[in-house]
Amino acid sequence: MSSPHRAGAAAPAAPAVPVSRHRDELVVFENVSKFYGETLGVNRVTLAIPPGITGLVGPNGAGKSTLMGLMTGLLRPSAGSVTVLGISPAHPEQLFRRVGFCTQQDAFPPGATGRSFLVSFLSLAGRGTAWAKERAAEMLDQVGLREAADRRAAGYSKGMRQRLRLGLALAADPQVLILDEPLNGLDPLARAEVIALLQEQARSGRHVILSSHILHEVDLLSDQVVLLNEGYVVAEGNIQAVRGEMHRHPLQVLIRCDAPQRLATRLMGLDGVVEVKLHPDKGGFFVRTEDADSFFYALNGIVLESGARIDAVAPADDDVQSVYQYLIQNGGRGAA
Amino acid sequence: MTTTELRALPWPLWREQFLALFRLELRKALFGKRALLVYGLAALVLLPPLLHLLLGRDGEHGDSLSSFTQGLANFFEFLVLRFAVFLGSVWIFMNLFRGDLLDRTLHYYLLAPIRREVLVAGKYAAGVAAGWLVFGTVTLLAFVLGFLSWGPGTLARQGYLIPWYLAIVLLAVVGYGAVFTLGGLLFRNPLLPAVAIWAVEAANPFLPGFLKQISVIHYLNALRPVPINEGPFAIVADPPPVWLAVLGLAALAAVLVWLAMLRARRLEIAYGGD
Repeated sequence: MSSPHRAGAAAPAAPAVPVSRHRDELVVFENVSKFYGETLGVNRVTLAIPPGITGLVGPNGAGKSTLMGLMTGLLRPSAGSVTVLGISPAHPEQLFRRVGFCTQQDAFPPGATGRSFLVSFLSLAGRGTAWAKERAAEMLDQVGLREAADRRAAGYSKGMRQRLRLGLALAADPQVLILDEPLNGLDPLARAEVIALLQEQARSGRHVILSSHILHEVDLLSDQVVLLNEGYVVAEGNIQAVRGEMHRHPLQVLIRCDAPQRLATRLMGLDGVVEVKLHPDKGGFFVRTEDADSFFYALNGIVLESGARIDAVAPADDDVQSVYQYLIQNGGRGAA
Repeated sequence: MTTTELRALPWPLWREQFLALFRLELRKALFGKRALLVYGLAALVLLPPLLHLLLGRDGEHGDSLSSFTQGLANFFEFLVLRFAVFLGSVWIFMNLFRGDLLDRTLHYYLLAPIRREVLVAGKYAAGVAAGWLVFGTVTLLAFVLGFLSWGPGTLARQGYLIPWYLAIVLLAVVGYGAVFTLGGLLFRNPLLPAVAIWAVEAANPFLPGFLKQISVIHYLNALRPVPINEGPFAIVADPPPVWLAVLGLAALAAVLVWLAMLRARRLEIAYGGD
């Protein structure tokens, strides 16, 4: 994600790999499409995901899990190519020494305990049973399941099962950690722990790619977002920058001041302002404008003229939710 | 691929991964919930010789030892080989991948740093080991119990037949196992191909010589220590020599497992939606 842009059929294609970064440092999708028979999974996706936390956001059926499946070789592209740190997902023996994937599938092998589950699948790495046992114990500690390690995984709570899968994904100390709806079903404490763990991973220079349809979570966590709808990338990049790209999207600004009614009346007459409403606490007001640059330029003059004391001016809807709603409601599919 | 390139491959790693997978899958095949059907088949096989041992007494057999041995050969051919081993192989090998898919746990294997070829090899080998362990054991027990009903001396005299039958069971599991491992990877519903293969195997006695060669049972016939009578309508054809049967079946199994490996490389899983 070299530069924020709105992608899709009508938008110009972004450069597949930013010149500033080597392909071996990125997760790269080049014109990737995936069809399930006649059904579209994703279409003509071109992305280059850098290290840090990247949120894949979209409703059910948007293509989030398909993108993750393509990254991890669980799915094969119908067209285009995918590489993760320069490795093709068609080579799991190389890929999963650097990539961990925590799926949202909540099933475990029948009868498996937390420990036996981890030991069994870690032993497939070919580093010996002793290593697998030792690593499993470390991971059980790390995800807070030491006490429950020898209980059947099927009897765990949803949050515990999620943490167990996360433990498996983290066990190889992956450079790229992919998580499908990782916060789903976690209680607030577990959620905070997982978020802290993901942030720690990202701070150490790793890729953390997570999907969610709970937009607020992604907004708080992510350095960058990929917005998906009906198999298309609707927008991608830094969330504020994505927002900035959307000149036609009315921006809502909250202005905190000592004379909201007076100032609101003045601002209502400005070109581009489409809505003004008082804040419920009467300590400010919201302005919705279609021309953010002109608005902020004019605002300075009006404030000086009116003599009002401004306490704060802040975007009131500069989050993923508002961007997402706008993009989806305005045709999705990257219509610019 | 040159010899040098072959030597450069990471064989120790693959061996370690193969063994880890083999242990995991063998445990599953012998002690998992799906093993119940295999044990059920095994119990069915053991029932006639057990009844014979309990109800028939030495000296009260109305037939000769040679006709009893012929009876045991027929029992092995139709109840053990064509029924239990065949159905057991369908169940064990079709479920190698499909069972994990139904349990929604196949992705754990596919997300491990292991080549899909090693995955197929490990699962197949575990299936062969489990199948032979179960059906080899019941074959052994059936023959021991059968001959014991004629007294320990008879067991000592006729015991030389047992290794042949154990070898047939092993080859059957190797052959059918390869067929159904591939079938399990190719077909969403493995029942229809299993029925089709069963029909080909059942029709083997009535097929002309050149068509007999496409069935697993044709090669197994070469190892029978006691020929069986396949009925008045059977088309008699000489079985291949033992060495050709063993090598032929091993080669067939190798080709089928290789095809299964190619299929596994393209295997995709998508349990649910986005």
